[in-house]
Amino acid sequence: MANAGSGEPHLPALQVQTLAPGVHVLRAPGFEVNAGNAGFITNIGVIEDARGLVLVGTGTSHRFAQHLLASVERHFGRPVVLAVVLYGGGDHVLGNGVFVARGVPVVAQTETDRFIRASCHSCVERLTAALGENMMSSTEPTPATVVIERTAKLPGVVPGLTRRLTLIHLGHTFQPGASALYDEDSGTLFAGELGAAGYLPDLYNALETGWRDGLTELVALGAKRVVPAHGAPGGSEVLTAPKRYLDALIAQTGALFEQGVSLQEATQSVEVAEFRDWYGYAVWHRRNVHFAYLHREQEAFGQRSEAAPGLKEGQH
Amino acid sequence: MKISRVLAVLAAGFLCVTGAQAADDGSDTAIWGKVKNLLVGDRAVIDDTTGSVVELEAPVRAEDAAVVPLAVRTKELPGGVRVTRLHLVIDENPSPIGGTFNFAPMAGRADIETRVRIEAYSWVRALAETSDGKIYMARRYVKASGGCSAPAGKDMEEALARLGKMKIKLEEDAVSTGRPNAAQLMISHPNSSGLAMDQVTRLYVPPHFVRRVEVSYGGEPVMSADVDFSISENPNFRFWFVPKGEGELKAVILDSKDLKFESAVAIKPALRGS
Repeated sequence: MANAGSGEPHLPALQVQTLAPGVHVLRAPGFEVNAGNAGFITNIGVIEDARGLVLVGTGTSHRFAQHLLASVERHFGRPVVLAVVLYGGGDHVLGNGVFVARGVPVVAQTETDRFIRASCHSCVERLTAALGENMMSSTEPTPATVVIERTAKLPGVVPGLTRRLTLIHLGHTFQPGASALYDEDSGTLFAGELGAAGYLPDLYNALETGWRDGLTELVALGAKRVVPAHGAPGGSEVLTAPKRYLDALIAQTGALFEQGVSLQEATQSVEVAEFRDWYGYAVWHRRNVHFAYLHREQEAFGQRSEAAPGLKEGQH
Repeated sequence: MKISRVLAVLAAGFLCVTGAQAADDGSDTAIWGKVKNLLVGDRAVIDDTTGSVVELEAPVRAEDAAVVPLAVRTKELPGGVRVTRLHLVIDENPSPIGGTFNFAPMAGRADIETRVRIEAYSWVRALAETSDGKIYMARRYVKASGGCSAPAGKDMEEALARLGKMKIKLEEDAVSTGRPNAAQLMISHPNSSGLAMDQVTRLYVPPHFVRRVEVSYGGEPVMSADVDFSISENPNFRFWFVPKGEGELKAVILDSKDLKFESAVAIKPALRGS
Protein backbone atom coordinates (compact mmCIF):
# COMPACT_ATOMS: atom_id res chain seq x y z
CA MET A 1 0.00 0.00 0.00
CA ALA A 2 1.19 3.57 -0.84
CA ASN A 3 3.02 5.90 1.49
CA ALA A 4 1.98 9.42 2.46
CA GLY A 5 2.94 12.30 0.22
CA SER A 6 6.03 14.48 0.62
CA GLY A 7 6.03 17.28 3.19
CA GLU A 8 4.20 15.12 5.71
CA PRO A 9 5.87 13.08 8.46
CA HIS A 10 7.06 9.75 7.16
CA LEU A 11 4.41 7.05 7.36
CA PRO A 12 5.43 3.47 6.64
CA ALA A 13 3.96 1.45 3.83
CA LEU A 14 1.51 -1.13 5.20
CA GLN A 15 2.12 -4.60 3.83
CA VAL A 16 -0.83 -6.96 3.79
CA GLN A 17 -0.11 -10.57 4.70
CA THR A 18 -3.03 -12.91 4.12
CA LEU A 19 -3.36 -15.62 6.75
CA ALA A 20 -6.62 -17.25 5.70
CA PRO A 21 -9.53 -16.40 3.43
CA GLY A 22 -10.74 -12.99 4.59
CA VAL A 23 -8.15 -12.75 7.36
CA HIS A 24 -5.05 -10.59 7.02
CA VAL A 25 -2.41 -8.91 9.11
CA LEU A 26 -0.46 -5.71 8.60
CA ARG A 27 2.87 -6.78 10.02
CA ALA A 28 4.70 -4.19 12.11
CA PRO A 29 8.23 -3.80 10.78
CA GLY A 30 9.97 -3.93 14.19
CA PHE A 31 9.69 -3.73 17.95
CA GLU A 32 11.15 -0.32 18.63
CA VAL A 33 9.41 3.02 18.13
CA ASN A 34 11.30 5.35 15.82
CA ALA A 35 10.63 8.06 13.28
CA GLY A 36 11.13 5.61 10.45
CA ASN A 37 8.19 3.43 11.48
CA ALA A 38 6.00 6.23 12.89
CA GLY A 39 5.49 4.10 15.98
CA PHE A 40 4.08 1.19 14.00
CA ILE A 41 5.34 -1.62 16.24
CA THR A 42 2.13 -3.58 16.72
CA ASN A 43 0.53 -5.91 14.20
CA ILE A 44 -2.89 -4.82 12.98
CA GLY A 45 -5.48 -7.38 11.97
CA VAL A 46 -7.86 -7.00 9.06
CA ILE A 47 -10.92 -9.27 8.89
CA GLU A 48 -13.38 -9.12 6.03
CA ASP A 49 -17.04 -9.16 6.93
CA ALA A 50 -20.15 -8.87 4.78
CA ARG A 51 -20.50 -5.11 5.20
CA GLY A 52 -16.84 -4.20 5.27
CA LEU A 53 -13.60 -4.53 7.20
CA VAL A 54 -12.99 -5.18 10.88
CA LEU A 55 -9.64 -3.85 12.13
CA VAL A 56 -7.86 -5.23 15.17
CA GLY A 57 -6.03 -2.21 16.54
CA THR A 58 -6.26 1.43 15.54
CA GLY A 59 -2.59 2.39 15.42
CA THR A 60 -0.29 4.77 17.20
CA SER A 61 -1.60 8.22 16.40
CA HIS A 62 -4.30 10.29 14.76
CA ARG A 63 -2.12 10.71 11.69
CA PHE A 64 -1.24 7.02 11.51
CA ALA A 65 -4.90 6.02 11.88
CA GLN A 66 -5.84 8.25 8.95
CA HIS A 67 -3.09 6.57 6.94
CA LEU A 68 -4.29 3.14 8.11
CA LEU A 69 -7.92 3.74 7.16
CA ALA A 70 -7.06 5.18 3.79
CA SER A 71 -4.60 2.39 3.02
CA VAL A 72 -6.81 -0.57 3.89
CA GLU A 73 -9.92 0.89 2.26
CA ARG A 74 -7.96 1.56 -0.91
CA HIS A 75 -6.32 -1.88 -0.86
CA PHE A 76 -9.48 -3.89 -0.22
CA GLY A 77 -11.92 -1.51 -1.89
CA ARG A 78 -14.26 -1.77 1.08
CA PRO A 79 -15.05 0.46 4.07
CA VAL A 80 -13.89 -0.15 7.61
CA VAL A 81 -17.00 -0.85 9.69
CA LEU A 82 -15.58 -1.86 13.07
CA ALA A 83 -12.40 -1.63 15.14
CA VAL A 84 -11.57 -3.90 18.07
CA VAL A 85 -8.85 -3.02 20.55
CA LEU A 86 -7.44 -5.76 22.75
CA TYR A 87 -5.47 -3.87 25.40
CA GLY A 88 -4.53 -0.39 26.51
CA GLY A 89 -1.30 0.41 24.74
CA GLY A 90 -0.50 3.63 22.94
CA ASP A 91 0.69 1.72 19.87
CA HIS A 92 -2.64 -0.09 19.69
CA VAL A 93 -5.36 2.41 20.65
CA LEU A 94 -4.26 5.98 19.99
CA GLY A 95 -5.91 5.95 16.58
CA ASN A 96 -9.34 5.39 18.18
CA GLY A 97 -10.33 9.02 17.74
CA VAL A 98 -10.19 8.85 13.95
CA PHE A 99 -12.51 5.83 13.87
CA VAL A 100 -14.94 7.32 16.36
CA ALA A 101 -15.03 10.61 14.42
CA ARG A 102 -16.00 8.66 11.30
CA GLY A 103 -18.75 6.83 13.14
CA VAL A 104 -16.91 3.51 13.16
CA PRO A 105 -17.63 1.66 16.41
CA VAL A 106 -14.60 0.85 18.57
CA VAL A 107 -14.99 -2.21 20.80
CA ALA A 108 -12.99 -2.83 23.99
CA GLN A 109 -13.28 -4.76 27.22
CA THR A 110 -14.41 -2.60 30.17
CA GLU A 111 -11.04 -2.54 31.90
CA THR A 112 -9.20 -1.76 28.68
CA ASP A 113 -11.55 1.16 28.16
CA ARG A 114 -10.83 2.30 31.71
CA PHE A 115 -7.12 1.95 31.10
CA ILE A 116 -7.35 4.13 28.00
CA ARG A 117 -9.14 6.84 29.98
CA ALA A 118 -6.75 6.62 32.93
CA SER A 119 -3.34 6.02 31.47
CA CYS A 120 -3.07 6.80 27.77
CA HIS A 121 -2.29 10.48 28.28
CA SER A 122 1.17 9.39 29.36
CA CYS A 123 1.40 7.21 26.22
CA VAL A 124 0.81 10.32 24.11
CA GLU A 125 3.56 12.14 25.99
CA ARG A 126 6.03 9.29 25.52
CA LEU A 127 5.23 8.87 21.84
CA THR A 128 5.41 12.61 21.25
CA ALA A 129 8.88 12.61 22.78
CA ALA A 130 9.88 9.78 20.45
CA LEU A 131 8.09 10.76 17.24
CA GLY A 132 7.72 14.53 17.49
CA GLU A 133 4.79 16.92 17.77
CA ASN A 134 4.01 16.82 14.07
CA MET A 135 3.49 13.08 13.91
CA MET A 136 1.42 13.04 17.10
CA SER A 137 -0.63 16.16 16.41
CA SER A 138 -4.38 15.83 17.11
CA THR A 139 -3.78 12.56 18.95
CA GLU A 140 -5.93 12.25 22.05
CA PRO A 141 -6.79 9.13 24.05
CA THR A 142 -10.31 8.25 22.94
CA PRO A 143 -12.45 5.74 24.80
CA ALA A 144 -14.20 2.85 23.08
CA THR A 145 -17.79 3.28 21.94
CA VAL A 146 -18.83 -0.33 22.61
CA VAL A 147 -17.70 -1.74 25.94
CA ILE A 148 -17.87 -5.43 26.80
CA GLU A 149 -17.35 -6.82 30.27
CA ARG A 150 -17.09 -10.54 29.62
CA THR A 151 -16.29 -12.91 26.80
CA ALA A 152 -18.84 -12.17 24.09
CA LYS A 153 -19.71 -13.04 20.49
CA LEU A 154 -19.53 -9.74 18.68
CA PRO A 155 -22.43 -10.32 16.23
CA GLY A 156 -24.70 -10.20 19.27
CA VAL A 157 -23.24 -6.90 20.33
CA VAL A 158 -22.40 -5.02 17.13
CA PRO A 159 -25.39 -4.53 14.79
CA GLY A 160 -24.83 -5.74 11.26
CA LEU A 161 -21.79 -7.88 12.01
CA THR A 162 -22.10 -11.40 10.65
CA ARG A 163 -18.66 -12.91 11.01
CA ARG A 164 -18.37 -15.21 14.03
CA LEU A 165 -15.95 -13.14 16.08
CA THR A 166 -15.59 -13.66 19.82
CA LEU A 167 -13.91 -11.19 22.15
CA ILE A 168 -12.28 -13.28 24.85
CA HIS A 169 -11.51 -11.86 28.26
CA LEU A 170 -9.71 -14.12 30.73
CA GLY A 171 -9.42 -11.80 33.72
CA HIS A 172 -6.31 -9.92 34.76
CA THR A 173 -3.53 -11.14 32.48
CA PHE A 174 -1.22 -8.74 30.61
CA GLN A 175 -3.50 -6.01 31.90
CA PRO A 176 -6.82 -6.19 33.74
CA GLY A 177 -8.68 -5.82 30.45
CA ALA A 178 -6.34 -7.59 28.02
CA SER A 179 -8.36 -9.61 25.54
CA ALA A 180 -8.07 -11.78 22.45
CA LEU A 181 -10.26 -11.92 19.35
CA TYR A 182 -11.13 -15.30 17.86
CA ASP A 183 -12.42 -15.75 14.33
CA GLU A 184 -14.25 -19.07 14.31
CA ASP A 185 -14.60 -19.22 10.54
CA SER A 186 -10.87 -19.31 9.91
CA GLY A 187 -9.64 -20.53 13.30
CA THR A 188 -7.51 -17.42 13.69
CA LEU A 189 -6.81 -16.01 17.13
CA PHE A 190 -5.66 -12.41 17.44
CA ALA A 191 -3.97 -12.79 20.80
CA GLY A 192 -2.81 -9.20 21.24
CA GLU A 193 -0.28 -8.90 24.05
CA LEU A 194 -1.30 -12.29 25.46
CA GLY A 195 0.68 -14.05 22.75
CA ALA A 196 4.34 -13.47 22.04
CA ALA A 197 6.88 -14.28 19.36
CA GLY A 198 10.38 -13.03 20.01
CA TYR A 199 9.06 -10.29 22.28
CA LEU A 200 9.29 -10.89 26.03
CA PRO A 201 6.09 -10.68 28.10
CA ASP A 202 6.06 -7.44 30.06
CA LEU A 203 4.56 -7.65 33.56
CA TYR A 204 4.37 -3.90 34.19
CA ASN A 205 0.57 -3.99 34.53
CA ALA A 206 0.19 -7.75 34.56
CA LEU A 207 -0.82 -10.53 36.88
CA GLU A 208 1.52 -13.29 35.81
CA THR A 209 -0.47 -16.17 37.30
CA GLY A 210 -3.64 -14.98 35.57
CA TRP A 211 -1.74 -14.57 32.32
CA ARG A 212 -0.28 -18.08 32.55
CA ASP A 213 -3.72 -19.57 33.25
CA GLY A 214 -5.25 -17.54 30.46
CA LEU A 215 -2.69 -18.90 28.03
CA THR A 216 -3.62 -22.43 29.05
CA GLU A 217 -7.23 -21.65 28.14
CA LEU A 218 -6.29 -20.09 24.84
CA VAL A 219 -4.14 -23.08 23.88
CA ALA A 220 -7.13 -25.33 24.60
CA LEU A 221 -9.12 -23.33 22.08
CA GLY A 222 -7.10 -25.08 19.36
CA ALA A 223 -6.74 -22.09 17.04
CA LYS A 224 -5.10 -22.89 13.69
CA ARG A 225 -3.08 -19.72 13.71
CA VAL A 226 -2.24 -17.12 16.31
CA VAL A 227 -1.35 -13.48 15.73
CA PRO A 228 0.58 -11.78 18.54
CA ALA A 229 0.75 -8.03 19.05
CA HIS A 230 4.46 -8.14 18.27
CA GLY A 231 6.37 -10.57 16.07
CA ALA A 232 5.44 -13.15 13.52
CA PRO A 233 2.08 -14.92 13.41
CA GLY A 234 2.35 -18.65 13.96
CA GLY A 235 0.64 -21.59 15.57
CA SER A 236 0.17 -22.57 19.18
CA GLU A 237 3.82 -21.75 19.94
CA VAL A 238 2.81 -18.09 20.03
CA LEU A 239 0.91 -19.05 23.19
CA THR A 240 3.03 -21.87 24.63
CA ALA A 241 6.33 -19.99 24.47
CA PRO A 242 5.23 -17.06 26.67
CA LYS A 243 3.55 -19.58 28.96
CA ARG A 244 6.89 -21.35 29.41
CA TYR A 245 8.50 -18.03 30.29
CA LEU A 246 5.79 -17.20 32.82
CA ASP A 247 5.89 -20.72 34.29
CA ALA A 248 9.64 -20.46 34.84
CA LEU A 249 9.43 -16.92 36.19
CA ILE A 250 6.68 -17.79 38.67
CA ALA A 251 8.38 -21.00 39.82
CA GLN A 252 11.84 -19.51 40.30
CA THR A 253 10.64 -16.33 41.95
CA GLY A 254 8.30 -18.23 44.25
CA ALA A 255 11.06 -20.60 45.31
CA LEU A 256 13.40 -17.73 46.14
CA PHE A 257 10.67 -15.98 48.11
CA GLU A 258 10.06 -19.15 50.11
CA GLN A 259 13.78 -19.42 50.82
CA GLY A 260 13.77 -15.92 52.29
CA VAL A 261 15.79 -14.40 49.46
CA SER A 262 15.24 -10.64 49.35
CA LEU A 263 13.60 -8.72 46.54
CA GLN A 264 16.89 -7.20 45.46
CA GLU A 265 18.66 -10.56 45.44
CA ALA A 266 15.80 -12.21 43.58
CA THR A 267 15.89 -9.67 40.77
CA GLN A 268 19.57 -10.46 40.30
CA SER A 269 19.13 -14.23 40.45
CA VAL A 270 16.22 -15.31 38.29
CA GLU A 271 17.17 -16.18 34.71
CA VAL A 272 15.09 -17.87 32.04
CA ALA A 273 17.83 -18.72 29.58
CA GLU A 274 15.59 -19.81 26.73
CA PHE A 275 14.34 -16.26 26.33
CA ARG A 276 17.59 -14.32 26.62
CA ASP A 277 17.51 -13.58 22.90
CA TRP A 278 13.97 -12.26 22.93
CA TYR A 279 13.47 -8.56 22.53
CA GLY A 280 13.01 -6.94 25.94
CA TYR A 281 14.87 -9.51 28.02
CA ALA A 282 17.72 -7.12 28.74
CA VAL A 283 15.34 -4.28 29.47
CA TRP A 284 12.42 -5.68 31.44
CA HIS A 285 13.14 -9.26 32.53
CA ARG A 286 14.51 -8.08 35.89
CA ARG A 287 11.54 -5.78 36.28
CA ASN A 288 9.32 -8.79 35.61
CA VAL A 289 11.04 -10.63 38.46
CA HIS A 290 10.51 -7.58 40.66
CA PHE A 291 6.76 -7.59 40.06
CA ALA A 292 6.42 -11.36 40.30
CA TYR A 293 8.18 -11.25 43.68
CA LEU A 294 5.90 -8.48 44.98
CA HIS A 295 2.82 -10.36 43.81
CA ARG A 296 4.06 -13.54 45.49
CA GLU A 297 4.60 -11.58 48.66
CA GLN A 298 1.06 -10.25 48.58
CA GLU A 299 -0.29 -13.77 48.28
CA ALA A 300 0.72 -14.09 51.93
CA PHE A 301 -2.16 -11.75 52.70
CA GLY A 302 -4.61 -13.64 50.46
CA GLN A 303 -5.34 -12.81 46.86
CA ARG A 304 -8.65 -11.36 45.75
CA SER A 305 -10.84 -14.41 45.20
CA GLU A 306 -12.68 -13.36 42.08
CA ALA A 307 -13.53 -16.16 39.68
CA ALA A 308 -11.60 -15.79 36.46
CA PRO A 309 -13.80 -15.14 33.47
CA GLY A 310 -13.64 -17.95 30.96
CA LEU A 311 -13.78 -18.63 27.27
CA LYS A 312 -17.51 -19.23 27.14
CA GLU A 313 -19.74 -16.35 26.33
CA GLY A 314 -20.81 -14.48 29.43
CA GLN A 315 -19.17 -17.07 31.65
CA HIS A 316 -18.12 -15.78 35.03
CA MET B 1 12.98 17.95 68.81
CA LYS B 2 11.26 14.58 68.51
CA ILE B 3 12.04 12.62 65.38
CA SER B 4 8.42 12.65 64.21
CA ARG B 5 8.40 16.43 64.56
CA VAL B 6 11.60 16.65 62.52
CA LEU B 7 10.01 14.53 59.82
CA ALA B 8 6.94 16.74 59.72
CA VAL B 9 8.97 19.95 59.52
CA LEU B 10 11.13 18.54 56.76
CA ALA B 11 8.16 17.25 54.80
CA ALA B 12 6.55 20.69 54.90
CA GLY B 13 9.75 22.54 54.13
CA PHE B 14 11.04 20.43 51.29
CA LEU B 15 7.84 20.08 49.33
CA CYS B 16 8.79 23.41 47.81
CA VAL B 17 12.45 22.61 47.16
CA THR B 18 13.08 21.77 43.55
CA GLY B 19 15.95 21.59 41.18
CA ALA B 20 18.70 21.16 43.74
CA GLN B 21 21.96 20.26 42.05
CA ALA B 22 23.83 17.18 43.17
CA ALA B 23 27.56 17.47 43.56
CA ASP B 24 29.36 14.85 41.53
CA ASP B 25 30.07 12.76 44.59
CA GLY B 26 26.90 13.69 46.48
CA SER B 27 28.82 15.07 49.44
CA ASP B 28 27.34 18.57 49.50
CA THR B 29 24.01 18.90 47.72
CA ALA B 30 21.90 21.85 48.75
CA ILE B 31 19.16 19.65 50.13
CA TRP B 32 21.59 17.48 52.04
CA GLY B 33 23.01 20.56 53.75
CA LYS B 34 19.55 21.46 55.05
CA VAL B 35 18.62 17.93 56.01
CA LYS B 36 21.87 17.38 57.84
CA ASN B 37 21.42 20.57 59.79
CA LEU B 38 17.96 19.60 60.96
CA LEU B 39 18.78 15.95 61.53
CA VAL B 40 22.11 16.07 63.37
CA GLY B 41 22.84 19.77 63.75
CA ASP B 42 26.50 20.73 63.60
CA ARG B 43 27.79 17.29 64.55
CA ALA B 44 30.40 15.99 62.15
CA VAL B 45 29.31 13.35 59.66
CA ILE B 46 32.09 10.94 58.71
CA ASP B 47 31.95 10.01 55.05
CA ASP B 48 32.28 6.23 55.27
CA THR B 49 33.36 5.58 51.71
CA THR B 50 35.01 2.26 52.59
CA GLY B 51 32.07 0.79 54.47
CA SER B 52 34.00 0.45 57.71
CA VAL B 53 30.86 1.11 59.77
CA VAL B 54 27.90 1.37 57.42
CA GLU B 55 27.14 0.16 53.91
CA LEU B 56 24.18 1.00 51.72
CA GLU B 57 23.02 -1.36 48.99
CA ALA B 58 20.79 0.18 46.36
CA PRO B 59 20.25 -0.41 42.66
CA VAL B 60 21.99 2.02 40.33
CA ARG B 61 18.84 2.12 38.23
CA ALA B 62 15.59 1.09 39.90
CA GLU B 63 13.29 -1.44 38.25
CA ASP B 64 10.32 0.38 39.76
CA ALA B 65 10.61 3.86 41.29
CA ALA B 66 7.69 3.12 43.61
CA VAL B 67 9.42 0.08 45.13
CA VAL B 68 13.18 0.53 45.34
CA PRO B 69 14.84 -2.02 47.63
CA LEU B 70 17.47 -0.66 50.00
CA ALA B 71 19.66 -2.53 52.45
CA VAL B 72 21.69 -0.86 55.18
CA ARG B 73 24.31 -3.06 56.78
CA THR B 74 26.48 -2.11 59.73
CA LYS B 75 29.69 -3.60 61.06
CA GLU B 76 30.56 -4.90 64.49
CA LEU B 77 32.65 -2.23 66.20
CA PRO B 78 35.39 -2.68 68.78
CA GLY B 79 35.20 -1.62 72.41
CA GLY B 80 31.52 -2.34 72.94
CA VAL B 81 30.55 0.50 70.62
CA ARG B 82 27.41 -0.23 68.63
CA VAL B 83 25.21 1.45 66.07
CA THR B 84 22.11 2.75 67.85
CA ARG B 85 20.31 4.62 65.10
CA LEU B 86 20.07 4.71 61.31
CA HIS B 87 18.60 7.45 59.17
CA LEU B 88 17.57 6.98 55.54
CA VAL B 89 17.71 10.16 53.47
CA ILE B 90 16.55 10.52 49.86
CA ASP B 91 17.67 13.97 48.79
CA GLU B 92 15.21 14.63 45.99
CA ASN B 93 12.07 13.24 47.62
CA PRO B 94 9.31 15.64 48.71
CA SER B 95 10.06 14.48 52.23
CA PRO B 96 13.78 13.66 52.16
CA ILE B 97 13.99 11.72 55.42
CA GLY B 98 12.53 8.33 54.62
CA GLY B 99 12.94 6.98 58.10
CA THR B 100 14.84 6.89 61.35
CA PHE B 101 15.43 3.47 62.90
CA ASN B 102 16.41 2.96 66.52
CA PHE B 103 18.07 -0.28 67.59
CA ALA B 104 18.06 -1.66 71.11
CA PRO B 105 20.81 -4.06 72.21
CA MET B 106 18.36 -6.92 71.64
CA ALA B 107 18.53 -6.21 67.91
CA GLY B 108 22.02 -7.68 67.84
CA ARG B 109 22.70 -6.14 64.46
CA ALA B 110 21.69 -2.64 63.45
CA ASP B 111 20.82 -3.65 59.89
CA ILE B 112 17.64 -2.81 58.06
CA GLU B 113 16.25 -3.66 54.65
CA THR B 114 13.22 -1.89 53.29
CA ARG B 115 11.75 -0.49 50.06
CA VAL B 116 11.31 3.17 49.26
CA ARG B 117 9.73 5.46 46.74
CA ILE B 118 12.07 7.73 44.81
CA GLU B 119 10.59 10.75 43.10
CA ALA B 120 13.62 11.89 41.07
CA TYR B 121 17.19 10.83 40.36
CA SER B 122 18.71 11.21 43.77
CA TRP B 123 21.47 10.60 46.21
CA VAL B 124 20.29 8.15 48.83
CA ARG B 125 22.08 8.23 52.18
CA ALA B 126 22.30 5.96 55.20
CA LEU B 127 23.52 7.64 58.37
CA ALA B 128 24.62 5.49 61.29
CA GLU B 129 24.82 6.98 64.77
CA THR B 130 27.03 5.02 67.16
CA SER B 131 26.90 4.75 70.94
CA ASP B 132 30.12 6.78 71.22
CA GLY B 133 28.44 9.76 69.59
CA LYS B 134 29.83 9.48 66.07
CA ILE B 135 27.90 9.62 62.82
CA TYR B 136 28.91 7.74 59.68
CA MET B 137 27.37 8.08 56.25
CA ALA B 138 27.17 5.81 53.18
CA ARG B 139 25.54 7.02 49.99
CA ARG B 140 24.49 5.79 46.58
CA TYR B 141 23.11 7.59 43.55
CA VAL B 142 19.89 5.96 42.36
CA LYS B 143 18.27 6.57 39.00
CA ALA B 144 14.51 6.44 39.47
CA SER B 145 11.69 8.90 39.01
CA GLY B 146 8.01 9.33 39.78
CA GLY B 147 7.91 6.91 42.70
CA CYS B 148 6.12 9.19 45.17
CA SER B 149 3.46 10.23 42.67
CA ALA B 150 2.93 6.79 41.11
CA PRO B 151 -0.57 5.37 41.52
CA ALA B 152 -0.97 2.54 44.00
CA GLY B 153 -0.45 -0.88 42.49
CA LYS B 154 -3.70 -2.38 43.70
CA ASP B 155 -7.15 -0.98 43.66
CA MET B 156 -7.74 1.08 46.76
CA GLU B 157 -10.81 -0.87 47.85
CA GLU B 158 -8.80 -4.06 48.00
CA ALA B 159 -5.90 -2.33 49.71
CA LEU B 160 -8.14 -0.88 52.40
CA ALA B 161 -9.81 -4.26 52.99
CA ARG B 162 -6.40 -5.58 54.01
CA LEU B 163 -5.31 -2.42 55.79
CA GLY B 164 -3.00 -3.12 58.70
CA LYS B 165 -2.70 -6.85 58.20
CA MET B 166 0.81 -7.95 59.07
CA LYS B 167 3.03 -10.98 58.68
CA ILE B 168 6.18 -11.67 60.60
CA LYS B 169 8.37 -14.08 58.73
CA LEU B 170 11.37 -15.74 60.28
CA GLU B 171 14.22 -16.20 57.91
CA GLU B 172 15.63 -19.42 59.23
CA ASP B 173 14.10 -22.80 60.00
CA ALA B 174 15.29 -22.67 63.59
CA VAL B 175 15.60 -19.60 65.77
CA SER B 176 18.64 -19.69 68.01
CA THR B 177 19.19 -18.03 71.34
CA GLY B 178 22.06 -15.72 72.02
CA ARG B 179 22.75 -14.72 68.43
CA PRO B 180 21.07 -12.44 65.89
CA ASN B 181 18.23 -13.99 63.89
CA ALA B 182 16.72 -12.33 60.84
CA ALA B 183 13.02 -11.53 60.62
CA GLN B 184 10.85 -9.78 58.09
CA LEU B 185 7.85 -7.62 58.90
CA MET B 186 5.37 -7.31 56.03
CA ILE B 187 2.57 -4.77 56.41
CA SER B 188 -0.42 -4.49 54.12
CA HIS B 189 -0.97 -0.76 53.85
CA PRO B 190 -1.29 1.54 50.80
CA ASN B 191 1.09 4.03 52.44
CA SER B 192 -0.47 6.69 50.25
CA SER B 193 1.78 9.68 49.73
CA GLY B 194 -0.95 12.17 48.93
CA LEU B 195 0.93 12.98 45.74
CA ALA B 196 -0.65 10.35 43.48
CA MET B 197 -3.56 11.35 41.28
CA ASP B 198 -6.37 8.98 40.42
CA GLN B 199 -6.22 9.30 36.63
CA VAL B 200 -9.93 8.61 36.19
CA THR B 201 -11.37 10.91 38.86
CA ARG B 202 -8.46 13.40 38.55
CA LEU B 203 -8.50 13.63 42.35
CA TYR B 204 -5.48 13.14 44.56
CA VAL B 205 -5.59 10.13 46.87
CA PRO B 206 -5.33 11.56 50.40
CA PRO B 207 -2.14 10.82 52.34
CA HIS B 208 -2.39 7.82 54.61
CA PHE B 209 0.83 6.15 55.64
CA VAL B 210 2.56 4.21 58.38
CA ARG B 211 4.46 6.62 60.61
CA ARG B 212 5.67 4.49 63.51
CA VAL B 213 6.84 0.90 63.83
CA GLU B 214 7.78 -0.75 67.11
CA VAL B 215 9.16 -4.26 67.41
CA SER B 216 9.69 -6.01 70.72
CA TYR B 217 10.67 -9.44 71.91
CA GLY B 218 9.36 -10.73 75.23
CA GLY B 219 8.21 -7.20 76.01
CA GLU B 220 11.70 -5.72 75.50
CA PRO B 221 12.33 -3.30 72.63
CA VAL B 222 14.19 -4.57 69.57
CA MET B 223 13.74 -1.88 66.95
CA SER B 224 11.56 1.15 66.40
CA ALA B 225 11.18 3.36 63.38
CA ASP B 226 9.70 6.73 62.49
CA VAL B 227 8.87 6.55 58.82
CA ASP B 228 6.75 8.32 56.24
CA PHE B 229 5.40 8.01 52.72
CA SER B 230 8.85 7.58 51.24
CA ILE B 231 8.43 3.98 52.36
CA SER B 232 6.72 2.00 49.58
CA GLU B 233 3.18 0.68 49.48
CA ASN B 234 2.93 -2.43 51.68
CA PRO B 235 5.87 -1.50 53.91
CA ASN B 236 8.41 -4.23 54.42
CA PHE B 237 11.23 -4.29 56.96
CA ARG B 238 13.89 -6.90 57.43
CA PHE B 239 15.67 -6.65 60.77
CA TRP B 240 17.48 -8.75 63.38
CA PHE B 241 16.75 -9.80 66.93
CA VAL B 242 18.51 -11.82 69.65
CA PRO B 243 16.10 -14.02 71.60
CA LYS B 244 17.18 -14.94 75.11
CA GLY B 245 14.56 -17.65 75.50
CA GLU B 246 10.95 -18.34 74.62
CA GLY B 247 9.00 -15.22 73.90
CA GLU B 248 6.81 -13.30 71.57
CA LEU B 249 8.14 -11.25 68.67
CA LYS B 250 5.63 -8.45 68.40
CA ALA B 251 5.14 -5.58 65.97
CA VAL B 252 2.96 -2.55 66.60
CA ILE B 253 2.38 0.05 63.92
CA LEU B 254 0.69 3.41 64.02
CA ASP B 255 -0.39 5.21 60.88
CA SER B 256 -1.06 8.82 59.96
CA LYS B 257 -4.74 8.44 60.83
CA ASP B 258 -3.74 7.20 64.28
CA LEU B 259 -4.87 3.70 63.43
CA LYS B 260 -2.96 1.12 65.45
CA PHE B 261 -2.27 -2.44 64.31
CA GLU B 262 -0.49 -5.30 66.06
CA SER B 263 0.85 -8.68 65.15
CA ALA B 264 2.93 -11.20 67.04
CA VAL B 265 4.53 -14.58 66.62
CA ALA B 266 5.47 -16.96 69.41
CA ILE B 267 9.08 -18.04 69.29
CA LYS B 268 10.51 -21.19 70.77
CA PRO B 269 14.21 -21.07 70.11
CA ALA B 270 15.42 -23.98 68.02
CA LEU B 271 11.87 -24.32 66.68
CA ARG B 272 10.54 -22.57 63.63
CA GLY B 273 8.05 -19.76 64.24
CA SER B 274 4.78 -19.69 62.31
